[in-house]
Amino acid sequence: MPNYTYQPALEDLDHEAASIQLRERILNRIEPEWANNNAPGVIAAVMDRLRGYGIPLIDLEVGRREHQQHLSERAIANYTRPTTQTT
Amino acid sequence: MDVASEGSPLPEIMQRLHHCTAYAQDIMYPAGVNGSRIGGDACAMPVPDGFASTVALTCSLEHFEGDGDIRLFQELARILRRGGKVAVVPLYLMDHPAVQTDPVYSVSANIEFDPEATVYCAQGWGNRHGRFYSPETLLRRIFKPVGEAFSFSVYHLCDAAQIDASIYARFALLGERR
Repeated sequence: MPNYTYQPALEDLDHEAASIQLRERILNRIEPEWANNNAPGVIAAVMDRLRGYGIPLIDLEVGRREHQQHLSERAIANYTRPTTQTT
Repeated sequence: MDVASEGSPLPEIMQRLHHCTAYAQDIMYPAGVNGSRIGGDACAMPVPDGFASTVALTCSLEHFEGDGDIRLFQELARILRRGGKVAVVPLYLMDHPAVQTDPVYSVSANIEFDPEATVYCAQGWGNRHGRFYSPETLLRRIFKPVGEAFSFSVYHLCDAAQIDASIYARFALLGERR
């Protein structure tokens, strides 16, 4: 979750104007798109380099584990979000 | 402890599942320890050494701007007891260092971005800073500064789509306090 104290309301600001200001401030560094770490080859390249540095890298089949964790599923399914939350 | 928890249900879910004492930490909460809420800077928490056995960062590490991520792990080394664990999900990794930002939010706050990072402009994202580590920046920023305090493992979530196609987490990080 964001670790800061203030956000302006989105509707109060103009995205295109903000984009231009950002570009002016960080010339040549901005890409006009969302970051995509799912692009072909990215995950494989990342994993190869992690292994190359000797970092323990473990495949985790979270889907299968999730199906086996009935207790977790029940707890999440039964969870009722409090009405007093601010977000 | 759920760090940068904001309004997350995670602390309550953990409490129900494991019958543990769970704390939610966030800079948006009133400063200090108030019941199960810990307010203030996550990099300087008002708790004693070895306070926590387990720390979670869910959709939060990427938002720590500047050197906040580095300082956070130094603080986690202090507040986690020996054998304690910290889990980061998602761990955003990419083949190059990157920061994603919605300029509507970052321009007004004059956010500084990592010098070596490519900055991606995410219209409508609604957040001002999301860091993607390259393997090299993960080593330099997280692993090496606290290498004597933690042993780290990276998990590749290889079949997350089996839970739901919308899940975007690809990696997770587990650090165990030595």
